Amino acid sequence: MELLAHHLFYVSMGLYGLAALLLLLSSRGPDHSLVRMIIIAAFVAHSISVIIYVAILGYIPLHKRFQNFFPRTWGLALVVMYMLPRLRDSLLTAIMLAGILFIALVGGPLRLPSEIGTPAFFLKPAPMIFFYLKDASMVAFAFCFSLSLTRLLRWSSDSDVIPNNELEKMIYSAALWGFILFSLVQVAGCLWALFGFGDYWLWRPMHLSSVAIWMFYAAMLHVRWVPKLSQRTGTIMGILGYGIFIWWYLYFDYGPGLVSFIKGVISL
Amino acid sequence: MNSEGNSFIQRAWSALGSLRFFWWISMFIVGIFLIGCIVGKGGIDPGVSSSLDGEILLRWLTGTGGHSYPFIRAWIIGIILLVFLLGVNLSVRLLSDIGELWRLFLEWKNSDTPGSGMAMARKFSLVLMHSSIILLLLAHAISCSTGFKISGFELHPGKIIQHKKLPYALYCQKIIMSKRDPRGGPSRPTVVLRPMVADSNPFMIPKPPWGSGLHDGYFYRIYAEYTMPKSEVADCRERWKRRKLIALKLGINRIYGIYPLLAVGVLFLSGAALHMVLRQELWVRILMWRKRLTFSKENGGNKYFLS
Repeated sequence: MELLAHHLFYVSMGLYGLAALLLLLSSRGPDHSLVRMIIIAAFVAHSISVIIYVAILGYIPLHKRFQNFFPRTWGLALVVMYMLPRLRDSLLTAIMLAGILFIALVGGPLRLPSEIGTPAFFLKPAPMIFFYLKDASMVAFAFCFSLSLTRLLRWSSDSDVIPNNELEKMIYSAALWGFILFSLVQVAGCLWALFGFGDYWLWRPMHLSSVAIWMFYAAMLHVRWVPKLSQRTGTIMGILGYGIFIWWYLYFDYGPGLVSFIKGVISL
Repeated sequence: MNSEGNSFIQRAWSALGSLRFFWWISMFIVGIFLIGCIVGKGGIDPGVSSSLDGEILLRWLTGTGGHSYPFIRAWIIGIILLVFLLGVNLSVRLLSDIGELWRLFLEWKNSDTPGSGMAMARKFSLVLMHSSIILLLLAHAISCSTGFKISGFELHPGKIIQHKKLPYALYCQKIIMSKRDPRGGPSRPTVVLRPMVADSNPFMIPKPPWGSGLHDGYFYRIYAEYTMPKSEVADCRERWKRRKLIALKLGINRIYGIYPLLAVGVLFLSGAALHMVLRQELWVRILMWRKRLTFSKENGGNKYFLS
C-alpha cells in the first residue's frame, strides 16, 4: 500500500508539472479542457495517495521531510488548480478556504508526530492551531509565488485569460491573505511559547526567521506605493518570499529545528 | 533662513515617514534576522541562547552576558537600532495619516462625496494597524528593559528555591513526571511548589486548568538542561557521561508588557480584519449576501449599514 501511495504521489506530481508547463509556456493558451482533465486526474491521484499514507501511519505525516510533502503539496496542488483557465478572481479566496478546511479536517482528529510535545491541560490545541494557521499561510504564499512566477514569465506579453493588471491585483491579494494569516501564526505561536515555555520570545533561529518572513511580506505589500520601485520588484519579492518561507519550513520546522528544539527544551 | 530651515525640516519629516525608508529598513531587518538564524543554525554556543533567554535583554547587553559575546551583542544592538528607526518611520507616518484621516472625515461629514466614506474607513484600518505596531514596539521595549528573569534552579523534591528578587522562598514539594501524551508526544512534567510563608497553599506549574506558568504575577518556566557533572563523573576518563546529565530546572520571569503585547496583537488583527472587509474579499461578499458595503448617507441616514 505504501508503495502504491508513493507511486500515486509521483504520478500526480508529474501530471501537475505537465499541466503547469502547458499553461505557462503556451502563448496563445493551451487546450483548456485537456489541462483541466490533467489537473483533476493529478489531484485525485494525489488525494488518494495522501489518504493511503495517513491510513498506513495512523497520523498526519509531518515529521519526515519527504512525508511532510504529502499534505503540503496538496496545498500547492490547489495553487496549480487555480491557474486553470476561466477561473475568476473571487475563487482565490474560495480555494484558499477549501485548503484551510482540508488541513483542519485531515489534521484535526489525528495525532501529532511523536517528537512534538504538547502543553498541558486546555492549551493542548495551541500547537495544532499554530500548525493549521501556518499551513494556511503557506497555501496563500504559494498562491502568491505561483502568480508572481506567472507574471514574471509573461512580463513582456499580456494574456486574454488573466490580464496582467488583474494578475498583479491577485498577487497583492494572495500576499495580503498570507500576511494576515501569518500574523495570526505569530500571535498563536507567541501564546504557545508564553504558556508552554514561559516566555513569548526565545532567541532561536526559528523565531528569528519568522520575524524575517513577516517583515519581508510587510515590505512586499508596500512595494506598489514606494516611488522608484517597479511592480517587477513586488513580483520578484513574491517569488523570493516563498523561497524564504520554504527554507524556514524545511530547515527550522521539520528538519533539525522545531523537533530538536522542543525535545531539548521539554524532554528528559 | 527661516523658510530654508522649514523646508529642511519638512524634507526630513517626509523622508523619515516615507514608504521608501520603510522598505529599506524592512529589508535591513530581514537581512539582520536572517544572518542571525543562518549563523545560529550553524551552531552558536548553546550557552548564548540559554543566557539570552534567561535574562532581561537590557541586563544581558550591559552585563556579563553581553561582554562574553561581543559579536552577538553588536548584532542585537544592530537590531535595536533598526527597530528604533522603524518605530520612528511608523510614528511619523501615523501622525501624517491621522491628519489625513481627519481631513477625510470632515470631507465625508460635510459633502459625502462618492467614495469618501470608504476612503476614510480604509485609512482608519491602516491607522489601526500602524498604531498597533508602534504600541507593539513600545511594549517590547518595556519587556526588554524592565522586570527580571532568573533561571537555573535545579528541581528535585525537597529543594528550597531562594532569590533576592523573589518575594518568598519556594519549596519544591513534588515532581509529577508525565505519562506519554495520548496524541503521541511526551508531555511536560508538573511541579508542585509551595511558598514558604505561613498559611500558604501549594500551586502547580503548569497550572490547571489553562496549563499556564503564571502564578501570583510571576511566570514559572520548567525546562530541561544539561547540568554540572557531579564530582565522580568529572573524571576525565568518564567525560562522555557528562552529556547524559540532564536536570529539570526552573526559570522565573517577571516581564512587564506581556499583556499589552497580546492586546496589541488583537488590535493589529482587528485593523487587518477591517482592511479585508473593506477590500470586499469573497468571504465578506458571502457574509453580506451579495450586498455591497457602502458608507452612503442615502440609506435612511444610517451611514454604517449596507445599502
